[in-house]
Amino acid sequence: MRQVIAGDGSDSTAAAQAYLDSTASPRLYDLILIGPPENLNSLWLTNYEAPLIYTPYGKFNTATVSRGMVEAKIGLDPQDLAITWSPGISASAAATVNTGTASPYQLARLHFYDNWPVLILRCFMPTPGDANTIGCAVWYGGRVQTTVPQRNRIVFNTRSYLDVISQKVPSTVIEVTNTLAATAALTLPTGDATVPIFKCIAGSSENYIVADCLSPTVNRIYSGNLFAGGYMVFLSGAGATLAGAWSAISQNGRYTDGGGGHHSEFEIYSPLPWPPTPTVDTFYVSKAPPVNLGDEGYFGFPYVPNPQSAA
Amino acid sequence: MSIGTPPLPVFPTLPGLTFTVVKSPGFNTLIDPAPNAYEVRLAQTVNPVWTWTLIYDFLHDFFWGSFSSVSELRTLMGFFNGQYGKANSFLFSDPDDNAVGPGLIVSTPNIPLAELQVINDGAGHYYSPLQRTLDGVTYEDITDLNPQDGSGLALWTNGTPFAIGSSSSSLKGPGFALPGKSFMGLYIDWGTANPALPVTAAFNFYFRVRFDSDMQDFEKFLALGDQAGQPPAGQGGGYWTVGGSESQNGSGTLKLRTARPAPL
Repeated sequence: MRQVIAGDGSDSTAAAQAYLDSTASPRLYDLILIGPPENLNSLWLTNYEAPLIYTPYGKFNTATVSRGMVEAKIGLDPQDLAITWSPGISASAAATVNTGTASPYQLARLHFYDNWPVLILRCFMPTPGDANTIGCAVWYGGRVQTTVPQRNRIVFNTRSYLDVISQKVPSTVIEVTNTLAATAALTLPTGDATVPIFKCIAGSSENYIVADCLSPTVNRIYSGNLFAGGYMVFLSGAGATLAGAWSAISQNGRYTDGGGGHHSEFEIYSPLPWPPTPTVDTFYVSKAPPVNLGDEGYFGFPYVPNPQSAA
Repeated sequence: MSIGTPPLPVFPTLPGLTFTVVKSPGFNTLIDPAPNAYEVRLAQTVNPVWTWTLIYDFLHDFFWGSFSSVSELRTLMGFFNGQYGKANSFLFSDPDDNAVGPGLIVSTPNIPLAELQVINDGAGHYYSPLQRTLDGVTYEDITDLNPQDGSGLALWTNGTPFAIGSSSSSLKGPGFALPGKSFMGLYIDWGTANPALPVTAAFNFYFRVRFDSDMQDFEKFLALGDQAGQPPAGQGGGYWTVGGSESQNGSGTLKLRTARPAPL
């Protein structure tokens, strides 16, 4: 049986087993979390008729939500599962240029939810409304592949986490310093101890960002195209309008304003849904991961041997 | 209404409502049966989904009684159109099931028929979900009060009247969750004041409902009936029915069914 965790964090698997053994009519409900728990845009949904609190995670709101079947099978094939949500009161939010206040339909249209983590917890509830005493088991984990906004619903097509195993990855690619395969979340510029964070300034647009570095070195301007092939991710914070939005970086360099001041500039591949708000929106950047001998920070075996020396 | 939100429309009370009234609590249970007749049943709801099947023996389509400017038929027909069939939710006061109380019976708390449970969050805050019981054993969440602003709610703590709003108390909802407890309807937030037990209440309530169908038959069975030239020609007249004793061709009844409060 899957491990069940009670609201106080204790292992309640035995209690869940005893509950299921004791009745032919157990109360089972879903808690569905779409998005990272710390993200304010994440969706906390339950198919129970009242909001539920599962203490290890938080409060899940009553929603018109349903899901496909979760399969139990042997093997490494990833599973596809669709979650269908018909937004209720949250759907009435007006279209805005702020990811914090945009309606779910608008966010779905903007592909905001793409690749978000999805967690489904199965709640064992001997007493109606009590999601804590026995608690929940993790029922499904995956990521949003595509989001399909329809007239009265949003369909999240997800794929289980096992998809990472089904990729055909040559073993030589997997190096501890290779961020494509390793657990490192991003690639830092050489010499930096922390991820570079920038604050946007006036002059930015949807695909052209002018910004000043906040950390690790205030107002540092990195060398040209150091971040080409990397990416930027906008951060949350007071007044942030683009939290969670991201794009690959085409090129970066130095920008000189009309007063002769120097700033950092970025050109990005995917236009942001709207221009960043100057002096408010912040983002971090990552270099492209090193994948070749010529890339800064790469060491290990290259993926493709030199044909002249491979014979 | 949801406390703090615009009020919902109220289903009109019409004199032609007749017997029989069919009132049905419903649930939606998933059943997995086996050939040996064993089965596993999963309840999908805790609060019942009510359905009322109403018959109107007559609906005047001329000014009559308290309907002196809009006829009964046009009131009901207009209300149906105003809700866009089954699209909108509205409030229904069941003539036979719309009140909880009295809070006291000869100075004694009316237990269990008017009792509210008191729960706390473990951090010194107290709450009472607003519920009603039919049999003193099972409870049903109340989503809407009559009047909708909650002004008709009367409370007693151990027999002593308590004014909602005093001692930082307030009426909130619908929808309420604490670790280990969850309710769909309205609730009283007592603040940090632990009310003396038992807490009893008296109030009138509505059922939040919607029409069961997007189409509704109204059937005219008598052309007679007007008053001193009212209504003007071409603007009604006669007697109509919805499934009454004179009905011949209409679909028969008008059905209302429970509508849950707005979800996330």
